[in-house]
Amino acid sequence: MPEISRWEEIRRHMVRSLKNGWKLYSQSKFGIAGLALILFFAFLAVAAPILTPYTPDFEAPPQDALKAYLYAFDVSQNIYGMAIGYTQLYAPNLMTGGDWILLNHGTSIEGIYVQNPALVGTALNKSVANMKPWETTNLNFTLTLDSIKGIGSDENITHLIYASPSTSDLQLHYNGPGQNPYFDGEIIFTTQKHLVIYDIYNLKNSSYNRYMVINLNFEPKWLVEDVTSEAQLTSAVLYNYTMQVYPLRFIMVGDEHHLQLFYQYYTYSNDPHLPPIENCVKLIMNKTYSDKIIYTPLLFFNGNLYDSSPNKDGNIIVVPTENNTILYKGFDRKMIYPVPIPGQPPVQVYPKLMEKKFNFTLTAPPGFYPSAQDLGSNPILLPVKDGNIAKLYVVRAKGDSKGIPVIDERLTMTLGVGEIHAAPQIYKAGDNLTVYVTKYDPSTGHSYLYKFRGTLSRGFIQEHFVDKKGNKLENIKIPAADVKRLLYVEENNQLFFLTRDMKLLILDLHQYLSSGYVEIGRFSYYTPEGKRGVFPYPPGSKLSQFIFVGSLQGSRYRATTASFDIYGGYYCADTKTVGLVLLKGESQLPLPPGRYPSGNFYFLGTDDKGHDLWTWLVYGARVAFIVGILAAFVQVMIGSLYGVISGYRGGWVDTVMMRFADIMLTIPFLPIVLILTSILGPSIWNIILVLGVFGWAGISRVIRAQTLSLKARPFVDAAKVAGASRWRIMVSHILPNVLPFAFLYMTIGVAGAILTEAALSYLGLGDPRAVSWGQMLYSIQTAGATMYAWWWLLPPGFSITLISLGFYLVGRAFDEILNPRLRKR
Amino acid sequence: MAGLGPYVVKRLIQAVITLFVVTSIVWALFEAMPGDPTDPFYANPNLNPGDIAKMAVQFGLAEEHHGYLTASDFKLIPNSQLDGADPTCTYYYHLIDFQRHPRAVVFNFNISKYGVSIYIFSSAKKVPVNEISLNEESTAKYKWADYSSLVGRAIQTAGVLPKRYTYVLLNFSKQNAQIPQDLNIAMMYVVDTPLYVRYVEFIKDMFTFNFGISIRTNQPVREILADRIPRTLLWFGTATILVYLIGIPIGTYIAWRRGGVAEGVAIGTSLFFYNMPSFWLGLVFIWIFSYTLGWTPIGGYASGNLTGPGSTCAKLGICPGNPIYPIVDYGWHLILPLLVILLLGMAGVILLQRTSMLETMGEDYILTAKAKGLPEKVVRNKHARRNAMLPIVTSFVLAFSYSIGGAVILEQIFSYYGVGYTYLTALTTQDFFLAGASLYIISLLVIIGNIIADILYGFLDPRVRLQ
Repeated sequence: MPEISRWEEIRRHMVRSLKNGWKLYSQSKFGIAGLALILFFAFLAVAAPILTPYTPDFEAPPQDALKAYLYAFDVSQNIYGMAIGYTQLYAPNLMTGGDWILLNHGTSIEGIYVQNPALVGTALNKSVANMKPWETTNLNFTLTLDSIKGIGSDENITHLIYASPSTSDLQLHYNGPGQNPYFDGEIIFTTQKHLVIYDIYNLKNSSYNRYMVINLNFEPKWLVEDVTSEAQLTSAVLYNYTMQVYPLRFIMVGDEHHLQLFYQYYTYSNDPHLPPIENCVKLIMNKTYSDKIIYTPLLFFNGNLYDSSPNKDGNIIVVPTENNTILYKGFDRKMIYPVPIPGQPPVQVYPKLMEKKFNFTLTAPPGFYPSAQDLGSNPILLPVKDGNIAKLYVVRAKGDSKGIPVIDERLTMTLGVGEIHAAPQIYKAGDNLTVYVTKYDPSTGHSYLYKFRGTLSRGFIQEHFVDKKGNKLENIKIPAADVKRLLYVEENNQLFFLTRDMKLLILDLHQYLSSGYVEIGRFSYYTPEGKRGVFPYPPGSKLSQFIFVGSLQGSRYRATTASFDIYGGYYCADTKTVGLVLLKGESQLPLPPGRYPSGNFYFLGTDDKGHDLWTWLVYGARVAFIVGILAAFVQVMIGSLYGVISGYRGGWVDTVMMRFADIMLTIPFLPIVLILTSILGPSIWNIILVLGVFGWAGISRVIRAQTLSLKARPFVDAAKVAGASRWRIMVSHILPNVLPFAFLYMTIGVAGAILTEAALSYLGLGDPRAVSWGQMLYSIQTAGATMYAWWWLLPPGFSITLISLGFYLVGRAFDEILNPRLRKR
Repeated sequence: MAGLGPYVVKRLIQAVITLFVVTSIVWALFEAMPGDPTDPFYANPNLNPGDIAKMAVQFGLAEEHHGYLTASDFKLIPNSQLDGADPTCTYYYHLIDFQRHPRAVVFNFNISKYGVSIYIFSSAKKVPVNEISLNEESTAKYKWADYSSLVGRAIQTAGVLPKRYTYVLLNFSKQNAQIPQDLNIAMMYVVDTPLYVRYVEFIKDMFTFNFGISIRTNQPVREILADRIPRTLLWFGTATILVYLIGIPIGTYIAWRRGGVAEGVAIGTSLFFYNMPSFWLGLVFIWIFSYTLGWTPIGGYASGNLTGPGSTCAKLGICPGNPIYPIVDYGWHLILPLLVILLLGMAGVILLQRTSMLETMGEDYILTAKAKGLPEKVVRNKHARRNAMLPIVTSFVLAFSYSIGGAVILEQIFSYYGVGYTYLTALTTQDFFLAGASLYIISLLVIIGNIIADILYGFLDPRVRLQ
């Protein structure tokens, strides 16, 4: 007989018993089903990264998670331009504020009054709930060119802007008798030959008749007003009689080689003290350039800074021409009449201009810091190209000792190879200024977003985009896009990119910071009827203009900074559609299963944080196996040893040990485990430990009974005679023979442990970081979504049921093998 | 029935020991729980630490001690040894060792009479007197509340708990001042009762059903539990009975018709529910039947006198005053909870009855009965089922006793204010006395159930008691 090694012997024995075991096992249909279930979940656990499109950390991007409502209507005439008329802020009822949408129809201007639909039906009459923004009032008008004297019948409206009233845009209310909060301000527009300043109160009262037509000796190509009147500033500008500060605005019009600057004195529409409009408007600058003007100049004027001191900043014109960039600072000298002169404004302004020419060309319109209150901190950002490197120069408007604006070299920001095509955005957080800027790299065809942070005294440094996990991105790539307009919405921490081909992209920085996922996607919308699509609406139309509207409450900005219902406006000339869209949108989480605008498909929907539930379900199998198997293993280890010792020793040891096991069986399991896990703290390891330490008693009894019968078997006697010690007999002779029973109880223990882990997690005692099915059920409860989010409630429960059923069935099949009496005869 | 007496006595003694051990475990767990029953009161700005310490005394957690400090307790400390001492003053000190960290200390004395000010230093470790510093604010008197009392002035713990070693330092504002011989400082301090005393007290209280008062609701714990136990019994007791009433015939049938389709369906279905997380099944049922279909109430154990929307009166049209109202009210609220327990518990009974039947059917006398030509029904019901009932009966008694504990989570899901829900809320709101008593009652009933089951088993099967 050939000598076989010990290992070979063991191997043969194993193969033999497995074969026999399988033959017995395969007779049990339930056992096969259970094994299949376990194998299925084991496959999920092992192959989780392959089976899931996301990771458990993934959060649904805002295009999917937030429902950006879009309200749109069609008009009958062609649209050539759109402007927003900001009306009032410190109105008696802030909630009822609204804005005008002004549409240029070529020979007429249509005005439609709109209100924030989120507030409609709350502060307003409840009966108008669910109304469209433009249906809440019947305020609207049509201003036709025929009604304005001095305009030829061959002329069309070419450019349209709205000059906000003194009541608008955080300016403190400049009020008096006769004022109408809806009809306050001026519509300013150009025709081929004229500049028209038209008081909107004319539309309220046809006999008011206050407008002015100014002849131009060139055909205007651009029209701009100062940023204050344009309602661009984010802080209040104070006007009142006692401060010797007068409401003034500046209007600038020109073509490629001409520039004309007008000033206008105003208080509010229908003010009885207002002088005739002819005395209020004055041409103060008239320039001709041999170079071509390449962008609409920036007219940065801040009424509060109106002061003759050259050491203060604020009043800046940037004229970008082909070869140069020209800065003007000034119009600082004013004369106040000692006694009021009838029919004349109380103040006269004379230009005192300082000109500064820089020999570089801008690659995009300038950016500016849109808050006014603090002197000396109104940097103006000039995007330039130095060689092939994109740079951002910072102009200190306050200037040098003579007050002439200078470029502060220390503040220059460098973006590497490329060109800036969009005006940078700058805002203030605490003491720091943050600059967002995009550059376009023609060699790659992508745009890149950069962030700089710093102060005007310390300088700017580039800041990486860091998510909550500490992942850093030097810049964020906007693939295959040439960004021509950048918009940072401070209230929502969102960035919008308008590309050269008029596509609107969105990056939600808030979501990036929390999830670490960069998601730049097409901005998408929902209509109030529930249809969704990619901006703009209607599908297939081409976006003509996109405007940042703001809070739709009279002002662009809300009195309080925290605000989520910030709107954008747009029109599509091809379908004659005008619309308003909620930029942030309302949270739609948890999302039901389906395909979403970002192109993502959520097979089982998402939870309230935007986690993909299918991913969580698959990864949850891992925790189920770990907790179930380890806890059952601990139970079985303790139970087997305990049972073997108790049974083999017999006598009083057995009695005491079994009494203790009885006591452990009597202790109400869940209540005790509840206390223990709350003492030990939430962690899956503690749960495993507690389940293991409190679940062995039943097993120990069975193992003891087996031990008792084994003890009487001849091989134990043989071992005894051979001189084996008590421990040796227990460990190497009895324990291997009770192992099948231990294994049987382990499979059933796994089922129990998985169920208990789920219960503990559901009560909030689970590991909050674990991706487990119990945790999913806990979070559905904390999110309050139990009663509608069936896609979230059902899958984890079924998974728990099926996996524990699987283990239970396998256990039963073992039971039938080990207890032949149960088998079918 | 020879031998039943000694068997019962033996089981009873075992039960008492079990109860004792379980109670000890309960005590140990609650001692180990982070937090103290008085913790919630620290959030109350109207209570100072002295008041809370007195509550702890009232709860039996701590003891109040009184003492006096007289002239002979104080020793002079030279100015040179005291950091930050004023050379124009005289200092006397006294060191108190409280053995444990006290919960509160109050010194009460007539300050104007002696013209003296008092400093208190408290530390966890014993430090020599020359290492204390008057400059150190953290341990000085500023951390202690100072107020007028009936006797004169009192200084007492404020905010931070005092530590084990406490120096009392008297500051006489003149040089070489003598300590007044009639000095009398009344001292009250509260220290935790030693662990073994608390243990003995707890065991004594539990065994005499003296559960104290709920910290949250200020109601006697015994009254609360007396209110909750019947509710839980109504649900889980009824459910247990129903489970056995329905489960036994099914188990019998599928054992008799071994290998049929019915067996597969019954076992498969019941095991499927058996392995379900109970709370989840509850949630799904509430979602389907209460929210979506509106057939059953959303939760609670009864509408009682409420007739608002969703109440029994509004839904079923049977209102308070109607003689059958209480039955309808409780019954309607019980439908869903009962259904859940039925589904969850059915597998246990079916499988037990099946196994038990199969074992009995293997016995020779069944074969004999069949061979005699008795009708199948008679063999099944008279010969097999009766003998197979043995394990079922004991398991029923056990299940009934376990039902008091209820399903802690299910009661929460159904907002059914029974023992389990009470326990859960008591645990989360740190109402330790209520939680402890609930756990004790649950365990006690399980133990009683065990005795009854054991005795019953011994009674039904004489072999057991002869072992």
